[in-house]
Amino acid sequence: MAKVNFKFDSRSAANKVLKSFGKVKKSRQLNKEVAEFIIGRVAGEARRGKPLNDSRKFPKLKDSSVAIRDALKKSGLDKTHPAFTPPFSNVTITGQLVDALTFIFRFGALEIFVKKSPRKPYKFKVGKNKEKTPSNYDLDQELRSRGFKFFTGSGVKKSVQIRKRVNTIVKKALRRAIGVSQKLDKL
Amino acid sequence: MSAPIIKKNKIEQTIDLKKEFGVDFTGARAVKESIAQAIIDKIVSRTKSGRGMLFKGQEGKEVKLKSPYSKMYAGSQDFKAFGKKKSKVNLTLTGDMLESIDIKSIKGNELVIGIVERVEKKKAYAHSTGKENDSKLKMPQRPFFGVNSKELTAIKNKFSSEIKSALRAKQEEGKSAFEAAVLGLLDRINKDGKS
Repeated sequence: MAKVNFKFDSRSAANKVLKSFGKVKKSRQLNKEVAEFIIGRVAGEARRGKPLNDSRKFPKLKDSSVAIRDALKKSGLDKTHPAFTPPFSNVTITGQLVDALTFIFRFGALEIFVKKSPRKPYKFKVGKNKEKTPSNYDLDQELRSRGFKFFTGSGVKKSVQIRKRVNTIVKKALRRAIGVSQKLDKL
Repeated sequence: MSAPIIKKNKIEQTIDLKKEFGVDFTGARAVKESIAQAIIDKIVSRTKSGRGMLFKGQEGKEVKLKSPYSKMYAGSQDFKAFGKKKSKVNLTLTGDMLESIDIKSIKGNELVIGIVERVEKKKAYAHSTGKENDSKLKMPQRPFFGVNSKELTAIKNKFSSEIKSALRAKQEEGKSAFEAAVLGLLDRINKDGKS
């Protein structure tokens, strides 16, 4: 499975401090907060059409694709995501693909990837295509091969805003941990 | 209790801990960092729940943030992309503005909470005053920055045991190893952020 790894030094250092003083729960919360923030930002940026890949752009949609997306919207058969607009390239129709973004922590690094979760098939059909609905992971791979990368490791790492925000999350968690430590030490 | 300064180039509030808490915190940096964070958390959580803080003179009053968002903003791609709701006014799209509220300085008993980043300062100014920075364009005033004395009292009560134990520790043996490690790391992160 293709994964994208991130390692943020400040976060790792904070985790080491929290862990070495037995504040393991706090350290897990910090990991989770960082991961959820990054996933939320990756999803939001993709849907606003400014993906966190190296070019911060999606390829333009072909006229034929726009026509199909338009027909799908007009049919009203499928519930579409609020950020779906037929001519706008943002890897979003129903929202299932971007929602399948998830994370895991392994060997001190955060891995972000698209789950192999099943996709709800479209009620709106084009032609006589009866192929099995791909998983979200398979769809992501197919879209990536066509240039629709809604995030890449280097794209996320290059984001100044993400770095700033991760630093802020870490600082705030550490400051809160001081208060908690004193409460725990007192017991 | 001093009201926050809301200017185009300065958004900050100074809190005199000795005056507000009745305790001398000189030297107890860990507790001051912790209290400052509690104040920041209060501003963020209040704003995210749709409540703001309107200052008239030196005293602030909690107010509901003007709702709903404009039709134009609610129809924008950014609004939809981040899953916002028209009636839920919480001044949060990416969350960058609220998360940029940080400690500007800690000197003696004086804490200064504010926004340093230029872009976020502009956004906060526009929301707080209802005026866009470089145009005559008006938007609803949604003041959110700052804490009032009621909120500070709640924070003081929350931290009463920490304040006592910190002051005792200060008199007896200084910083704990954990505090020293955390403060060292905070200094490093702050230094990295500036470079």
